[in-house]
Amino acid sequence: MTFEPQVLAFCCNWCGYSAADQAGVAKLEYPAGVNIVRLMCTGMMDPYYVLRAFERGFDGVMVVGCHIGSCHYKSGNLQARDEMARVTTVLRALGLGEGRLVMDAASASEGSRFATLANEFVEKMRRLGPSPLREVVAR
Amino acid sequence: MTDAVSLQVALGPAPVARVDPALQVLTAEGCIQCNKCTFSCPVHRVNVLFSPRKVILQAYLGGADDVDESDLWACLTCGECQVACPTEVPYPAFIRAQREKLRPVMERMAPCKHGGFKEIVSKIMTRPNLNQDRRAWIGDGLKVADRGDVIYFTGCLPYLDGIFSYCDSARIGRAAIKLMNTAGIVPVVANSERCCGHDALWNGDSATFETLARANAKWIKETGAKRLVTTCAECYSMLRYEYPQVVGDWNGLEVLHMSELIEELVKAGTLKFTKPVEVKVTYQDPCRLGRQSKEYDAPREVLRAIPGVQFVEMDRVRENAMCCGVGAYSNCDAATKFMQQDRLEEAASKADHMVTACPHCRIHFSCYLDGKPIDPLPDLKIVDLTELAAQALG
Repeated sequence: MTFEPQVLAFCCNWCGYSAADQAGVAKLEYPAGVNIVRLMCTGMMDPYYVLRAFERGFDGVMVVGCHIGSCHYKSGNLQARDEMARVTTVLRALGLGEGRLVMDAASASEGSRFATLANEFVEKMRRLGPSPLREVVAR
Repeated sequence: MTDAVSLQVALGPAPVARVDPALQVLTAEGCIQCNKCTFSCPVHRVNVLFSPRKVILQAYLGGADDVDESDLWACLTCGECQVACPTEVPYPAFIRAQREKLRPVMERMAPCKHGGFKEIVSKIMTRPNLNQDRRAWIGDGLKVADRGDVIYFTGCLPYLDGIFSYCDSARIGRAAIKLMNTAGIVPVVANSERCCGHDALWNGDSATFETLARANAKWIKETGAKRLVTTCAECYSMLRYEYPQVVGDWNGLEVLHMSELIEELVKAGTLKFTKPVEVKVTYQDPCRLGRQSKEYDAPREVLRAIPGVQFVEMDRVRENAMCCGVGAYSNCDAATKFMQQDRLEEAASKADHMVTACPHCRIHFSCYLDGKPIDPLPDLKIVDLTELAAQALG
């Protein structure tokens, strides 16, 4: 059986999620292994969410928010960026480094950007292989 | 036994059949309801509704299921009540057993602060295929090995900075390696190390604890080391007293706290403190090293051995030492903040540095000093014993 990466994508309501919506409306394709969770703002991203996703066996975690300067709540994405940088050091120590967690931005109208990000990330996870924690099937 | 019988007589016949087996196993049936535990309890001074005596009584009358959940999580398991108890009821062990027992039916898990971070990291470490990188924080100029006679058990030091960014906990680890290198020891720091399982055990998750204990015992025995050193009071109490109950005897492996190793090296003359450290310090006994492991003297001897250090005792020391306010990351509330302010003020009235021998005491007190409480902050620095000793190396 071929390895199909399972990825959890945390998207903010105002940009990331709308971009994913746009991608759907425009009939752009991205892998079915991208599971989207909508948050009001990436600023509410907790290190726990990321660690819990890996504990459940996901191969990668994406956080998609607004571009810097256009956060609906002014500074949520900056807060998320700092938080994700810290959790990355923890992931590296756990042997889950190598870019299994990425944070990026796509504005509400950038459906194609979201599809590209999702395609690239899943492709990268496919090259890296399954997460060492993947023994329970994700979802 | 007679005490339990007289209690049952006083309370009428009903409890006889309902006495919880946990009470008997833990000799909590020796409770004579004298209330000394409640008066010694630091949580009770703020949260007057919390009373260790009441919890034991509830367990008597209705079995463990009648114990209130919030009471179960309010206890810090610091052990001050056990010291005060005339019949030596092991109250922390009783709380631990109740947490374990009620875990399946509890509405909420341990109210772990920091969003469950420590809990989830130790859960991840129970996985067999983990490929950790536990040496990234060490940096240049320090020597560690894959095999050797002495293991340095780092515990959660490589992970703490990911969340407690105000603390730089890895500094303790670097200081420990520097001290050992100076004394000619190249310690083993293993990537296969796992969390010691302290928090899991004390929050009533003994399945996770046992998995971690077995995984750790396996690699420790494989290295063939003779000694294991840790800078953490929690790891120390686990590896020394709890692991043998799960994984059997250590077969000659000696578990040491860093303070014990420094004391020994200084006495043997292999470690010499050359640079005076001109500070006035006081020492905070961590509950896991002090009351639980009865190691009060080694850290004090180390402080006395460092040139320039002026060591002053606080009023509440050794078995009466005040807890840092958090046990196993399962409680942080008004009582915690009150205790921290109280303890820091006491320390500040005696010295300008508070030395502790547990990275978690250091984190909890530093957290208080990092915050913006209503009371003026005590003018005090929190340092680890290992850090201070390494400063004296020059």
